[in-house]
Amino acid sequence: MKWSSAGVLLSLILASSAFAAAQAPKAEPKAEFPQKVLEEAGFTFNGDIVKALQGTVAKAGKANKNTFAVLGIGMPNKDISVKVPTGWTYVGLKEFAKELTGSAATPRNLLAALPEFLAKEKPEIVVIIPDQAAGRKTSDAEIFDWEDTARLCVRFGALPVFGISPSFPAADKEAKDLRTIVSEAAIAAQCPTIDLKAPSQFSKRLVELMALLEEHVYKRAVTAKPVQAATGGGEE
Amino acid sequence: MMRLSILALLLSIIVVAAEEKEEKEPPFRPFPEMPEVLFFDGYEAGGHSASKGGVSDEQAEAPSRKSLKFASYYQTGMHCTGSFGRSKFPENLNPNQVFIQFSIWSSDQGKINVYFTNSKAGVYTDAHQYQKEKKWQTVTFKLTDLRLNNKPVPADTLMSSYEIRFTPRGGEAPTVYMDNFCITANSRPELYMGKIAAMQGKTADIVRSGSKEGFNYTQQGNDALKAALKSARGAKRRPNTVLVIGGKPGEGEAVVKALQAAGPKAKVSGYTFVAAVSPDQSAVGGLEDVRTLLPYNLRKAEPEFVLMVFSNADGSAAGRNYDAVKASLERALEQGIIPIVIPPPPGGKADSFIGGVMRYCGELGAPCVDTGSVIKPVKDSMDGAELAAPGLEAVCITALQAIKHTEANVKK
Repeated sequence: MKWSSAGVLLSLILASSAFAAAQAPKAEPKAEFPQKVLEEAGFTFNGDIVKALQGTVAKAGKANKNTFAVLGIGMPNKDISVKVPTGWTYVGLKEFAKELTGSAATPRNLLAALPEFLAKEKPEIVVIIPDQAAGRKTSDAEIFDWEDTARLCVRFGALPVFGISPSFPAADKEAKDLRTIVSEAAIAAQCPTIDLKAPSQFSKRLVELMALLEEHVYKRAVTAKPVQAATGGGEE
Repeated sequence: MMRLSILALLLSIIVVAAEEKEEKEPPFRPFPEMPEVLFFDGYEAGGHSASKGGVSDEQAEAPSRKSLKFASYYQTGMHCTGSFGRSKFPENLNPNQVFIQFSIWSSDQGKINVYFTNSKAGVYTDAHQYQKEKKWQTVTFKLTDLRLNNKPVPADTLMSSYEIRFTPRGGEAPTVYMDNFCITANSRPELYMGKIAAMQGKTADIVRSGSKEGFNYTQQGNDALKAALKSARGAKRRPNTVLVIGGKPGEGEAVVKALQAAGPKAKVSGYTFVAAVSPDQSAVGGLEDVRTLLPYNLRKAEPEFVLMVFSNADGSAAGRNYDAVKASLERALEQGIIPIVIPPPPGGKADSFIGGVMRYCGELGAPCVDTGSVIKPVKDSMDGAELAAPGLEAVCITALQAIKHTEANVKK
């Protein structure tokens, strides 16, 4: 009788140990690519973006290496300063500035105006800054305007990056706000984003993102490091 | 400081004036001469609102020539689904004064469940009984009869889509038809049915059906096109110029040649066809380029029409690609340019894409070639899943007829 009680006890101990071992946190396999989310890093980057862009932009090899442009309806902006990282060249908008910045540069208008700029200047990265103030009405179709703008960049070998505006109420109660629209378009187009809630952090985040894109999408030595020279916008 | 104040005052006046102007834009009505009619679908031609269920002329006693035949839903249940398109309601109208009516026929008695969806709030429902069996029954109710969590539809919301389910009394799936789906404000739908029927009779020469003439064209679509051209008045357009985007990269030139060759057979002449291009000289064509390069080409070519050809590969790609086509149709219409759409040949995964594209064309008024019907009698029309030269010739002849018909009717 004593032996059988001891056996039951032993079985229970062994079973509970096995259960505990099964419940213990396993060492997670190391992620293939760094994961950055908007709420923590202030920009998005992940394996899905890398894989999508490796298969399109990097493969096309159409762009001029280490060049980038910043444009969109939200530029120029005194709160967003664009600092050019070491080893990179900022592509000026020149004769395209009127159509690629300011109120004319809605995503729908960008679709008409961007192709010539992309074909001529061949930037490697194109950062698109959306509206930075409330008031404009958004529409159901706007998500496609944003997504197709990103696709357009990819078609010309440029890697699109969307600025994500702070959330402000949509002018139309039924419509989605711009932050949601651009975020959803970025997911659909598999392109990275940078949060513009703290515009003073824009350049720092862009440089971090550029370094990740160089390393993982273009698979080359990282040159993007912050420097002091400033172009466009205001000072941080 | 004084100047700044004056400037600010002027700016605020301009903003207020702009807002007032924006507010004054009248809401869409399917029959502008009957502003009380918020939505109507008699399922007469290709441009109907339904996404599930098919237009049928099997029911000889239907209130109008054609009706909507329900599709199978679950076990013996039948249903239809659809979109209200540009009809927006209640949009601050009193929901208690918004009336909904449709006629329904079933081979068995049963229960009718009505579902109206608001994209944010969710689905509002109401239930009715069908007791006549093999006879047409008119169902009429108010918008406030529809409930979500026992709450009625608020005034400041918009309904986007509908579903009507029929659950039969017996154990077999019945045949169910629906017709004359009408939503009105402030007075009951039956007051307008006669006038609508008369108007539809008058416009019979405008309407074209994919199964008969090879392309879909409706009175509502014609009105929508006229409205689009009116709001884009002043935009620079090159008369009789047609921009062409082929179904595959580099196919545009081949379609242009086919259109030019088809002219005498279609008895259509006087149009200039321009193939879409890219500023980097790369080959252009297919849905991806419709999405990305259409606005650039519209600006460059300044056409009156844009012919969009889609391939089976476009239609078979994963996802709701027809939503992206809708955005492209809107981009053209916004500039007063009329899109003419050639969907891919039917078959396989492309069928869902074709259905979605045809539905959006109907909503927006864009004439749409019924590729399947057009190539059906044509020998050797297909090369694998795509159009062969004889098939392309046939759809080009129909596309030219669609362009001519559209031009004749929108410019009336």
